[in-house]
Amino acid sequence: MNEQTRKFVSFGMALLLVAAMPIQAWAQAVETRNLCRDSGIIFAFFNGVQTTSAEAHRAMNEFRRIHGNERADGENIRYEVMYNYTNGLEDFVETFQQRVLEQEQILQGRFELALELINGGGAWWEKLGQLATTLPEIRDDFLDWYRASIVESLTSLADNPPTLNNYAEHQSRLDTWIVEGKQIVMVAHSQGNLFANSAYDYAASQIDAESLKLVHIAPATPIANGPHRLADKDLVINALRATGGVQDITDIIPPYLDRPAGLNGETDILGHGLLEIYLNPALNIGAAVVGDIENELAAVQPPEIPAEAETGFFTATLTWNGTGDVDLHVYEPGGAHVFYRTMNGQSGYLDVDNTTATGPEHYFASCEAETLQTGTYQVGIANFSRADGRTATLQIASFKDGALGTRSVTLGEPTGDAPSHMMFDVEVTEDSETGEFEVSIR
Amino acid sequence: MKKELLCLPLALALVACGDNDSDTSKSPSKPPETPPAVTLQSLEDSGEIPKLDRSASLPGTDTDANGIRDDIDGYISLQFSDTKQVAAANQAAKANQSVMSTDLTNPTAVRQTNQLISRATACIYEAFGDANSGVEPAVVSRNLEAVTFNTEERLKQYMEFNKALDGSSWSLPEGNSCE
Repeated sequence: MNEQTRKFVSFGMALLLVAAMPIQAWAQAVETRNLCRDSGIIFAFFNGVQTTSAEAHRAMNEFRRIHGNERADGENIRYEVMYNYTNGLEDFVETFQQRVLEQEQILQGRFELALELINGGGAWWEKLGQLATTLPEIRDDFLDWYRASIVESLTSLADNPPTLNNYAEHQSRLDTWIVEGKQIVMVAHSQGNLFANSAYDYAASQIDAESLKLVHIAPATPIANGPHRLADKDLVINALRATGGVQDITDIIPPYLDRPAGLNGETDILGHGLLEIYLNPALNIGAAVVGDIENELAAVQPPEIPAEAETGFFTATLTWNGTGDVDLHVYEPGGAHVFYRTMNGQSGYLDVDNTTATGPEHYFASCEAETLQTGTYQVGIANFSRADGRTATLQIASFKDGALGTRSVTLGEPTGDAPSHMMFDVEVTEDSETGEFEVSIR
Repeated sequence: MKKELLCLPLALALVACGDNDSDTSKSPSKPPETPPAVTLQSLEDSGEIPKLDRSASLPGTDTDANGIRDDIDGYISLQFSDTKQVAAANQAAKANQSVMSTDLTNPTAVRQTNQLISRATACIYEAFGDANSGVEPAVVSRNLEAVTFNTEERLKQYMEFNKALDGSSWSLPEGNSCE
């Protein structure tokens, strides 16, 4: 290439670059900004006995650390908790005070020890142990009471297993996942297994078995819908064995004094804790539990019936308990009224309309930043026909935080195209500095 | 089972003794040094156990009005120095503290507080989750939970808060959770 040719080529390339730059800039400007990360797999965690909400948050974060945000084939995993509270321990705080804090001068008023003592102690308890030799005896007395109380609570729950009818939000969440065509992997610990079995039965009646998996950890029930793990020195389940059926022991764990600390630095004297025992990477049973979950995550398949609904920046899911036609109505901030007659709004869409029985009806707000309107979305429902006296349940869920709220009402006489109950005001805002969108309910 | 529980006191008794290997005892000219007596005060001052406000007030004192009780401000400054970790601990402390002012009869308010704690916990895992952080995020989160709900009134409020969440569902927050 001679000098003249080289200059000509350089000039030509420069011209091309100059011409290309505005095109790139324009392309960036019109590129849609997706606010959501679509997830095909739902990892649904059902917590165990006496689990605080913070402990449930920690468990989910640990699961995400272990199993990641996506499966090997690139399918995204979304982590959700189906929370249950342990009834029957209303006197926990008073008993802790009487049996522990009032027994030793150095313990008085130290309620911060309560949450670590139920696992047999922790760093602070051990430090205080340098000041009084009576602490082990005090701890064992309290733990005897505590274990008896939770066994009583579990026995009572097993005698009257929870039904999804009593847990409208859990049921509505399942309805949303099913209509959105999700693959569901349930993981349950301790009493969470009773709730998970109920949820499994409900979901199994609507989706095929390949799309629904359940892993049982320290199950407080003999009923299994998937693989289970149970430690030989799980004193809670062993005590439950004496009062009713439980599943077989699968793994041997070391005695308490030889037990390595778990993910939260504790060892759990009762041998029942999720982070201390069943997810403990230093115990064989920890690896076994992780293996069971990995197997089910790998095995779960998309449902054969294609998804009817899409994931949105936020969604509204309406269900009702019988025949009839109940309608979902959404008034968008821009003035569009989205319902069965006008299913496309300016910001969202009614993508599932049911006119016969139970629902669901499903609305989703766009995940595209350029389409999603900020402002107030008013969400209501109407008995269009034949649904008098039915209980209708409406759930609002966000892409970022999951279920935001679930409300139920008893329907009156048909009101046609006019909503009889305005159920939620959903507020969508955009941070002018960061460009991040948020959604909340009122 | 009872036997297993009965043998446990030995474990903690062993923890209490074990500081007898000092070489200084070998020197004839120097009397053995007695380690300073361990007291509640010394354990609190060194941060080995938390030094906390134990007043009957549900919210406690927040002199600088940063949404975090003064004693927990002190706990955090004693435990953490990395800017990102301090910020995450502060976010968690503030979220935990909001339980005290939550109207437990209002389901939406309860959920909003839970959402704050959910995001704050995810932030703790972002700040303390890598292998070099020196402490497990579960330990950090659990300790912040314990020091916040450290009196009868506060622990009862927290238990009622958990009860109010019975039957609810939420997801791990997607995207960045740190404020």
